[in-house]
Order: sequence, then C-alpha cells, then structure tokens
Amino acid sequence: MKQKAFEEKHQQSWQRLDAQLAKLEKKREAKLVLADSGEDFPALYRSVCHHLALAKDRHYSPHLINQLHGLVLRGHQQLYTQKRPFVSQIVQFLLRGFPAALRREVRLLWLATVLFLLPALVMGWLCYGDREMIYAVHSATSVMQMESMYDPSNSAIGREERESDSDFYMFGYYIYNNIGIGFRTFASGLLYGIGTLFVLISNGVFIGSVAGHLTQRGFTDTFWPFVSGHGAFELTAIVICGVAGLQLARALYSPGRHGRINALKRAAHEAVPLVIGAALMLLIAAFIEAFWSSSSTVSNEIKYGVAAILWLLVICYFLFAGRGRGYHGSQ
Amino acid sequence: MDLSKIRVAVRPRSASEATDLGFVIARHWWRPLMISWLMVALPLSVIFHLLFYQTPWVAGLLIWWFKPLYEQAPLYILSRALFAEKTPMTEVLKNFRTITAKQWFANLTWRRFTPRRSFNAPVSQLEGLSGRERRERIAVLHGSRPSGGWLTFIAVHLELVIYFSLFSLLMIAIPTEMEVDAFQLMQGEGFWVVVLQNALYIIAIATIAPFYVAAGFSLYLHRRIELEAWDIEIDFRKLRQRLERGKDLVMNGSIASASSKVASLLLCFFIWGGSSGDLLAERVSHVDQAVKDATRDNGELTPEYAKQQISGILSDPVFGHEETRKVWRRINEEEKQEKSPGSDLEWLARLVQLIATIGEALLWFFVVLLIGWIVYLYPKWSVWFGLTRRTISKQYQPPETLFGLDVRPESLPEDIAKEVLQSYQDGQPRAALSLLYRATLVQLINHHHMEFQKGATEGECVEIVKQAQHRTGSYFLKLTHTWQAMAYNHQSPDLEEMRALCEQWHDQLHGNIAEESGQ
Amino acid sequence: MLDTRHTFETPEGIDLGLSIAGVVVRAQAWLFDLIIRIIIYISFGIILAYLGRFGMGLLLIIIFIAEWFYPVLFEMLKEGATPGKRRMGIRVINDNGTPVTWSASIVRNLLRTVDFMPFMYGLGLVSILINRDFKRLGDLAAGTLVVYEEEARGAPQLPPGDAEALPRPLTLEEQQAVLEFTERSTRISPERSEELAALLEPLTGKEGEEAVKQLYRYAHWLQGSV
Repeated sequence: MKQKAFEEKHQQSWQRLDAQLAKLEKKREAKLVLADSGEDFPALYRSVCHHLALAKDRHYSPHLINQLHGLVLRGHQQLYTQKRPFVSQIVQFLLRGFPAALRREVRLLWLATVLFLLPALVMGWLCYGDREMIYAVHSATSVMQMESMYDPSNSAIGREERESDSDFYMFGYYIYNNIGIGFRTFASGLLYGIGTLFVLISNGVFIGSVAGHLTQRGFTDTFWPFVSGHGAFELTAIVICGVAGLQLARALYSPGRHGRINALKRAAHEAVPLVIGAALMLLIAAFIEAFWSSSSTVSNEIKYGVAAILWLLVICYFLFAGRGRGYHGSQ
Repeated sequence: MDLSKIRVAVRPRSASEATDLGFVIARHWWRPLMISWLMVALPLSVIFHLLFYQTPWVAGLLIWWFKPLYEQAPLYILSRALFAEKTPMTEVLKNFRTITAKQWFANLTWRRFTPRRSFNAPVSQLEGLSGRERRERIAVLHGSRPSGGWLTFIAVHLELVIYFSLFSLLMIAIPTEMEVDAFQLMQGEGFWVVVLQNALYIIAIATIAPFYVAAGFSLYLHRRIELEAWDIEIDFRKLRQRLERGKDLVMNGSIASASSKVASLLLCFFIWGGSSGDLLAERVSHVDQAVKDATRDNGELTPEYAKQQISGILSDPVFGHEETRKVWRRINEEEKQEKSPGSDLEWLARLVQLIATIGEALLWFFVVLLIGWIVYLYPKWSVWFGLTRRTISKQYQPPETLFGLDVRPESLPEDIAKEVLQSYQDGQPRAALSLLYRATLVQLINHHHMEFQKGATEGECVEIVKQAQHRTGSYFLKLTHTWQAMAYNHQSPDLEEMRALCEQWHDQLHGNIAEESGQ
Repeated sequence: MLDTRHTFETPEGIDLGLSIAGVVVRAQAWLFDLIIRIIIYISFGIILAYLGRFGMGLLLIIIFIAEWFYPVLFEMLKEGATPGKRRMGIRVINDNGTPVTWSASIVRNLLRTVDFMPFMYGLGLVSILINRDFKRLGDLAAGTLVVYEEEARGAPQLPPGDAEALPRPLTLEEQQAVLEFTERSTRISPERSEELAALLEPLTGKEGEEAVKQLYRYAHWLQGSV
C-alpha cells in the first residue's frame, strides 16, 4: 500500500487515539469517562500498534513512524498505569501486607532485634552498675542536660506541663527526625549492611546507657512513664527498618542465581511495605510522645497501663494480623 | 578514516542527548583517555610541586590552570577511536609537541575561561583553525543555541563532588584517636597537607576529564551531523556503493573524484601528524568552504568568498535568529532565621496558642475517630486476626476489565468452547480468541484465586500465574502469546491450533464451571 | 555501535525506543527541583515564623515531607516527572518500559540518601558514570530508568516540487534516506545538499542543483507511492 493511501485510510483513527490520549493525560479519572462514552481505547490502541508494526515493516517515511511511535508510547503509558482505589489499598496494606511482610522475614527480625537489644541491655546493665560508665558514650554536657530533664526535684525543666504549641513543635520534630532516621536505617543497608548495623547498634547503646544511668540515679518515676508508651511503636519501628535494611544487605551478600542486581531489586521491592509500615508506626510514636508521654497531668499508673496495652497491641498485630489466608506475595 | 567506520549510531540528537552519548563514548574508551590525560597531567603536577615547593598551593592553582593542556591528547585519541583507528601511546608521545602544545598559549590565557571549552576544542585542535577563522567557525557551529556551557558548569561541580567525597571518605578512614579535624585538613597549611589536597584534586579532575572531553566532542560532532547530514551521507554512500556494484557500472570520472574529495574533507579534521595537519590547515580553512572546494575548482577559494559563504550560512533561518533565554542558576541556601514575634504582639502569641490547642484537640479527635473506625470494622479485621473464620477474602476485589477486556463472569456465554469455535468458523478469529482469553481470565480470577490487579499487563498476569505455580501456567502462557499475536499483529491461529486451545481449555478450566453451575 | 537508546518490548510485541538521560541533564533537573524546594522552605518559613513554636513544628513536618516525598509524589502523580525533570524533558519509568510504580518510586527516592553519600551524590555519581544505563544506586535497586520524553515531530515540510518516478527500484532503507534528505532540506546548507546529491549521481544522472531537485522529486513520488 502506498504511504499516502495508508495515511488517508488510518488518519482518522490516529486522530481519535490522539484525542483520547489527550483526555486521559489531562484527567486521571478520564478512563471511566471514556468507558461510559463507549469509545474503546484499548482496541484503538492495539490497532495503532499494528499500524506502527506495518509502517516499520514497509519502511514508510520516518516522520510517519515517529508519529505512530509517539502515539503508541503514550498509549502504552496510559493503558498500563495502575489505577487502583487508594483507600482499599491502604486498608489492605495495614491489615495484611505489612504484618505479613514482616513475618516472612522472621530470621532477619530476630537478627535485627538482637543487634539492637543486646547492646542496649549490656550498656544498660553497665551504666546501672557504674555511675561513671555513661561518660564512655556521652559527653558531660549532654549527661547533665539529660539528668536535669528527668530530675524529679527539678520540676522547672521538662517535667512541667508543656503548652500545646510546644507539644506541636515536638511533634513536628519527632516526625522530621525519627522517621528520617528510620528511612536512613533502611537505605544504608545498601552499603552492604554496614549502615544499618551501625544505626541499630548505636541506637541500642544510646538508649540502653541512658535508661541504665537514669535508673541508677533513681529517676525512675520520671523516665520510665515517659518512654514506655511510645517505645512500643518507636523501638519496634526502628528494628523493622533494620530488617528492611538487612534485606538489602542479604541480597548483596548472597544474591542467589539471578544475579546481584536482580536480587537487589527484588529485596528492595519486598522491603518497601516494611519501610512504609515502620514510617506509619513512627508517626504514631511521634504523636504519643508529643501529646501523651509528655503530659504531666496523667498519673504514672495510667501511663504504665496504656503502655502495656500499646505493647500488647503491637505484638498481637504482628503475630496475628493478616493470617486469615495465604499471602501470594503479589503486592 | 571514513564515515562508514564511525563507531556511534549517527543521527541528529538534542544537545542533552549528545552530551549523554559523550559519556557513553568516554566510558567505552575509558582507559586510553585516562592514560593519555595522566601522561601530561602527572609530570606537569610533579614539576609544579618541585618549582613551588615552598608554596604548594600555587602548584595546586597551576594544576587547575593547565587543565586545557591535558585534554588535548585524549581528544586526539578519541577523534581517531571514533573512526575505528587505534592510537598507540608511542605515537602520542612522538607527536607530543603537535598534539599537546598546539595553540597552547591561547588555550592557557584568553581562552582559558570560556565556558564552552570542550565544545570549541575540536575546532582548533582537529580542524586546526585559529584567529578569526576559528571564531567564525565556532559561531557557525554553535548557531542560535550555543551549547557546552551547562556541560562545563556541571562538570566543574562534579569534580567538586568527587573531591569532597574523597575528603569525607578519608575522614571516615582516619581513626578518631588521631584527632584530625576535617576542617583543619581542608584548610591546612603544611606542605604535605596541601600536597594531599592537590593529589585528591588531581584524582577528582582525572575522573571527570574523559567524560568532559568526550561530551564536548560529542556536542561538536552532533552539530556537524546536523549541519552536514552525516546520517544521510552514510545512507547515500551505501546506496551508491550498491548501485556501482550493480551490472551497469557507470564510473564517471568526475563523480569518483568528487566523492573522494568529500571523503578527504571529512578526514582532514581528524588528520594530525605534524606537517600534514598544518598543510591542510593552510589549504582548507573551514568546512563549508572545503565542501564547496570539493565540488568546484580549487582556484575560486578566496577570503571574500569564504566570508560570503559564512554570512550566507548565518542568514539561514537555522542560525538567523537571536533569542533571550532565562536560565536558573544555583543560589546559596539562605540561612533560615527563626523570627520571634515581637513582644507587643501578645495577642498573636495567644492566637497561636489557641490554634495549637485546637490543632492538638483535632489530632486527638482524629485518633478517637480512628479507633472508632477500627472497632466499627471489627467484622472485617477479625478475619485478618484469625479471630473469625472465613475462607473467602473480601479484600481482593477482582477487576471488571483487564487491558480493556470485560472480565466479569456474567459477560460470558454458556458454552464457551462451542461459541469460540463457532465464531472462528464464521470468520471472526479475533472475537473467538478474545472470548477464549476472557473466559480463561475469568476462570483464573474467580475459581483459581489469581489476584490480577486493575491495570495489570498481560505479562504481569502470566507472571502471577507462573509464581503461583498453577497447573494451568503453561496453557495460559501459550494462550496469552496467541492472543497477543492476534490482538497486536493480526496473526490469527489456524483452525488446528484453535481446536487444540479449546480442547485444553475444556480439560484444564472447564471443570470449575460445572461446579459453579451446580451450586 | 555506541548509543544511548534503549529498546523495550511492550506486551504487544512492539519495540519502543527511548533515550536514556545522563548525568548532566539530570543534574540540571535536580538543581531546578532544589531551587523549588528552597523557595517552598523560605516562603513557609517566613509565614510560619509568625506562629511561633507551633509554626516551627509545622515547618518541620513540611520539610520532612518535601525532603523525602517531593520526588515520589511528583513521579507518581505527574507521569514520572518532577517539575525539574519536566523542564528538562525527562521522566522516570520502570526498566521494563512501563510507567513507574509506587513501590519503585519509593525505593529510588528513599535510597537517595545512600546515593547522596558521602558528599552531594558522590556515590550516585560514580554509579551513574559506571552503569551502562546511567543508573544511580537507587535506580538499580528500584529497577527504574530516567529517559527523555519523546517529542512528537510535526509533518515534514517538503520543498515544493513535482513528483517523478524512481528510475530503478530502491530498498526501503534507501527510500527512507531520500525522504529524510528531503524532510531535512531546510536545515542543510545548499552546498552540502548539492554535495550529498552528487553522491547519488548514478541514480539521478544529474549534477549540482539539478541533482538536488531531482532527489526532491523522487521524494515527492515516494511519499505518494511507498
């Protein structure tokens, strides 16, 4: 067929596809609009694919091939754009995807927990036993600051009921800082796990030493009620980010038969639910820490009670949520 | 050396794409480029340090200043490598003076600060032009959209990135016990400290140099590909060869000589070798004249004529308009200073307090709402917690259409296999195959619990079935291929194939339909 | 042949060609995005400064979102391109040619921190320089590519002229070259056109300007008759 004739014959369908694509590109919901109006976008797209193959086959002029190529490219983008209802996706993720993803990595979860908990316990025990031990890991000024913050006799600083705007500031700060740390814990797994290892261990050392030291100083009534509540979410989330980071590292150390890059790709995509879930947990932790833990009007007994419930909730969530039926792994 | 030997895919490209191709080129000839660069840079650096051992920072400055000098040998090697000619390092050394020292004074003084250095370099280095001719030639090449400036701007920053990255790595490697301050090291005064800085700097510029040279050269080449239609020449040349090989060998003398001159033209910008380069530079002053030269007699070549030619080209609409472009430049991030509201704004402070309190209340309200919602959804999530037993998931909602095909069960006719064959025999293979494919998808979704999501591709569906190691996997794959060949390439299967597909469908998937209708 | 072009086979079995974007253009896009983010921070900073510590808390949340999710949100909602990328005519896709997915976008942008190490994308730079497809570490892990937006080219402006049949059959590639020659006629200098046309003397049997015109005539004929 001559090119001119070919163009004349199909020009109309190209223009129609172009018009449909323009609509689709402008409005995301346009797909529904198009479906209603009875225009068959996929069929049209497929026929233009065919035209392109023909045009290439018959070596029509480059400009025509370019034009069709452009149409096919745009159509391809539109046809395969994922448009799923957002809310159901979130519910699906929270009730199933996230906890199931964590349960699939039980061994890494244990590893990350040990990497975090062991230094914490050891440092806690050492600092509890020796009042000077804390100076091995913290500078004198930061120790002083910390002590004055939790000193029950020094109610002027920190323990005073904060104003709402200060709570808010701290809320923002916890989001900015803690979720950022969570993300970095994951990302630095790409450095053959060294970064993740470092974050987990150093956080363990830091938290353990502070807890041990303050307990040793007898500040239990100010320190423990404060940290126990949000700890349920915060500590778990950091460990989960550690798991995600270790997933990357594992792909690099033992890539298996598909090659390192493919293993890494797979691991990274599997880690995404963990990181997002952990980020949400850190968001909850930031809320509790800023608005609940800091409150001095609530009695310690209630705080301990709530903390116990929160811990139980988190543990039950990860143990049971999403066990309803088999998980296909096709997130 | 001729165009048919060129090692890059020749076609017109945008400046950005040409730059990227330059990076690919540099990656490909990384070693010779690097070695030839170091061959000049390293000895010079040592000499600088020996000369200025009391003030090593001067040596550092000179290392930076002499950058154009190091880039000449790599450019020479590259210009030949692109046309599949190897350049032994001994040759570079032998012609050291003509390669590296060419126009060195201008390169190190008034041309040192041009932001388009690596684009312009081939004009003087390879075409051997200087003075006004060079300027005019560069103007022609740049046209209305000068390129190469961004390349230099980014390349300088990439050097800095590598330099400071190396510093950071060094700081990590130094044990903290040594109490070396990074800041001190960067600003240090001692001889060895400065030498260390200079060494890191050389590593940084050495890393980027091959890419910078190659990208500039690529930009230059692409302007010529565009202006001189190299891609078309390559095709025409092939065509001519074919025609001449044919039975009617019309070997007209004049054409033969014209084409060989054309070839020599393209050559001459890449020919070096001490004397021949200069000779050519004398004889051929710039490309468009040279082009002219090839088709006419040599005698007509005069400066006036050249000027006329150039102004002719410049008045071409491709070059003929000026445009003003606004370009974003990096600014320093301004220090954000926390502004405390004045004390006379007491009311504002109280207002803020109020907003904050409301905000907090809202957040709490939201939390309560969330908890309420979770409790409300108890019947749903209890399934997930395993508290209530239910086998069918409500969470996965099968799509109603996949790649534009209707996959609702109710859209299917009763007896699918019969219907399929019927419409195939009616001369509607497309409809037949589409129905069979749809029926298979419906079966897989509704009876085999394959969770195809909305927006999934055919390939993704195959992947999901494969991953689930479902027994219908191979059938589904085959059917999908047949369907794709039909849908996108209009290749219909023959009757035998169609029959086989239907029979297999019956065996593998139909059983479930019977079950369903029994329910 | 060295090239930056990458071909993808779509599910339809058609090859889509896309050019992969390299360091310089991506750095430019990043700079542009950086400026946008800085403008956001400064303007919010000025406004929120009046709200005291409450305002600072909000500002921190805004910075957090902008630092981590600015690229993710734009890549997902704006067809793979942040404003900077759009300006430079590039966008992100999966390395199988399909539009970038949430998961891939999140991975490539969270892993940005590692690419950023140890100083201003030092690792990312080295990775891009080495990798065949200009992928930084985040792209490697996410399986994404940064490619050029394909620009639709307008219809060719053939110089006016009559059509004349080819004296002998040409292969399709050769026909394409003649058409291309004619399509680009306005961008090639007349002298160069003559020189190129001279190459095809065996075909046209003419010289100089006449040969060029002869080729244009063939092109007109071809366009109507391929």
